[in-house]
Amino acid sequence: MEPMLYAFYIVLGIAFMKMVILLALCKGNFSNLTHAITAFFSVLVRGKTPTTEIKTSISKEDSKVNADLIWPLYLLQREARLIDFLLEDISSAPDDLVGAGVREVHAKCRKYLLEKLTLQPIISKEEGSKVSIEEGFNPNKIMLTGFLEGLPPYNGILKHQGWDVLSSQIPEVTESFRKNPVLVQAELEIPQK
Amino acid sequence: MANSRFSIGIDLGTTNCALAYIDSLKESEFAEILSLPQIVQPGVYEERKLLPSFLYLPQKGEFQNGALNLPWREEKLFAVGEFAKTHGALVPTHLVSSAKSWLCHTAVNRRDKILPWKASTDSNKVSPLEASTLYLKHLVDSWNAKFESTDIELKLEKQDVVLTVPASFDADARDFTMEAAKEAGFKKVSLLEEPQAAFYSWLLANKDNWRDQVQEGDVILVIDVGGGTSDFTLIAAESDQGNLFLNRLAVGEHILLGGDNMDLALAYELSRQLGTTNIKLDLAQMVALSHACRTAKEKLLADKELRSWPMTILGRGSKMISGTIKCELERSILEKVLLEGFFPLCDKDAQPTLQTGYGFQEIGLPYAADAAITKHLAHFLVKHHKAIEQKSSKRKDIKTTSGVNVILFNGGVFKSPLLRQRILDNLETWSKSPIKMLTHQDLDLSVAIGAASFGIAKRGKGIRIKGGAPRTYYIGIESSAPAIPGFPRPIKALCVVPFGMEEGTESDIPGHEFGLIIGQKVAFRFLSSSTRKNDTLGTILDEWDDEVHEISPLQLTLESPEKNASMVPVYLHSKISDIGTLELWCIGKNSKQKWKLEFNVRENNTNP
Repeated sequence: MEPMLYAFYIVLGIAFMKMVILLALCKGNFSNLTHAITAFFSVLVRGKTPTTEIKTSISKEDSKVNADLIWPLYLLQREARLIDFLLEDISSAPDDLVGAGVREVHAKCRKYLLEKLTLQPIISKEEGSKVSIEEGFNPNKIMLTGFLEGLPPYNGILKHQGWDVLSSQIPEVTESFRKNPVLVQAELEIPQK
Repeated sequence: MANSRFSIGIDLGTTNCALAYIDSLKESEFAEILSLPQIVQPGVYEERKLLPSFLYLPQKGEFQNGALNLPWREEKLFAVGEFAKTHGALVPTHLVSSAKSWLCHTAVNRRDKILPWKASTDSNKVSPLEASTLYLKHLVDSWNAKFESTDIELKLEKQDVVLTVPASFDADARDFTMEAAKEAGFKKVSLLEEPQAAFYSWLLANKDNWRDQVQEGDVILVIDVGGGTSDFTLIAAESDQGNLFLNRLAVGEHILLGGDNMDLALAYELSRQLGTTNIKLDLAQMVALSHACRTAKEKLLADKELRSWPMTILGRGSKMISGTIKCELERSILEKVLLEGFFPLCDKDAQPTLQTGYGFQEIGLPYAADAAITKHLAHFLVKHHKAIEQKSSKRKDIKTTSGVNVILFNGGVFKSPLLRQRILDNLETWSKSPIKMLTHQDLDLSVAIGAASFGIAKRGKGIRIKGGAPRTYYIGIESSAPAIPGFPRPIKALCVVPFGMEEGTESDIPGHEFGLIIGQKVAFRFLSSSTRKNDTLGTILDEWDDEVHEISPLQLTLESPEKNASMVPVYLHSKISDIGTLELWCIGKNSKQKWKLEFNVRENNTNP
């Protein structure tokens, strides 16, 4: 047999097999198949894919998630894209891009926190200096580590001065967010006509 | 009318609005700034000192119902302020910006719903007048939300309000501003020019010793470069029997050129460079880049040692880091674009060119073609050199030459010492003698503060700058030459308001009587000049060069007591009201009937 003819039979065979599989898969629903065939010839003839409309149906039901817990994360995403940063796999991204991106996200998060919260160190002393803690201290505010023994006063080295929040200007959760809390909104850009 | 408890000053800026107030019950006079609640993201409002002058008109269903509500009003279908500005930058077809520049744009009908300019015809639009009204209304509501509950007498409608306009605003743009103020609910309002307001703010801060800082014969340049406009004013310090007083000598033309153009120019220059490495930025990235440019510009201008400042444009979508674009603003670029583009060293007789420079041109608004602010300044000073010389000849200190010798900077752009120095360098080269700089505190809020302070000064409690009409105004009279096809009939200009005509004065225009036809609309051509300062009431100009400009025509519909059309002999009467607006009247010679001439907003673009 001629090698060319041989090749032709193989291609025809594959095409037939594909047809059978496709027909089996589409279970009598020919519209997708028609779409695929149109697309195939459209690419073959005009060299481009026809635009496909993806119709999305987004649930409008109220969410069961506790919106109060998501809200601060949502705000930091809006202000500084913190969630985009945390969810992206950056293990193989070049260091200079990570550095540049972090600087950007960090600067915006920092600005937002300093703007919205009035902060004050819990222990206003240099970290590394000697501090004595009297009896009756607030364990919510001070954590003790190291060789902890006996009763107060405890003498130790200040490792972290802590932050107390004196006031917060973080906005209240909105009504619509409470019904539909999201972490990051989807974005669709409409091209110029 | 009795004085209100508060004197309120409002800066209705091209890019930001602010409201300052002085409480007359407090011992010492100091201005406070009203916090302005505004939407910052859907459903969230915050208080800010500045209200960005941006209006966002959302598409139906774009936001959840009630997401744009404010404490004082529900079912808001628009947003004004911070969110409008930031979100609108990403959706330009729904954003109204620079409404104030449209308000003084004589080529469009300012009552037509033309904004957003970029929107398609079927979308929701507003007129420049409506947009300005909405900004003012927002200020009214913010005030009332704070004070109304305490005492109904403290409502803004019952307070004395001073609203600022650019010195370069024409009589009709001032009228539109008043109309917007009335629509927004203001009742006791007067106008003040912005550079003067900046000067009042300086006077307030130096009220005990300003006389030590300014002497007779000083000519003070107030240079105000805001986000979108540049405005120049000259104030002379004069003396009357030993008493020092201040006299506004001249105001500049309206120049649509400001700090925002500078950030945009830098962003375009950088995106052009990125383009050479095949990186194309989309709309959102361009917005991010121009914000980054603003920061980089401020850092580099503040520290001479820095050679460049790194900038990061985060990738869009969820691949933020891997899509990040890194670039740098180098000092050489900054200097090329900013110092050479906007603030070049130039000769004192430099003329701004008509070719496109570094500023950006958007179709619609008549942006300045030449971005060189220093050339516009040189041009302004040359135009008024006679007045400057005359006033500075009174100077006792003979070491300084004639010319501007004192300067007051205003506008956020001049937070940069480098740019202030650049202006000083130019001025000192031109006048060959040192320039004294007056300093004041807050370059963003000084106009509002100064306006509130002027409100107190008006009550007789402080020095006032003598101002009066900033221009000479003329009515065009068609000459009786035979018509030549293709040529408009030449007109003569009759002076109806001389330069410096004071507020609260009025006068008949002598020597001219018109025959007026009753029962139909009559139009008058209206002209102005900022340089012809010696024309008096009734002066007629047969010809003039480019020192006289035509502005919006005036029109008059005559109400006739009789049914049949007839001709009434009238004479003209002009008046500058206490609030600083211009009124022209036709008065019947026999009947004493009066008709007011109104500005006619053009119905089509006759003067693009």
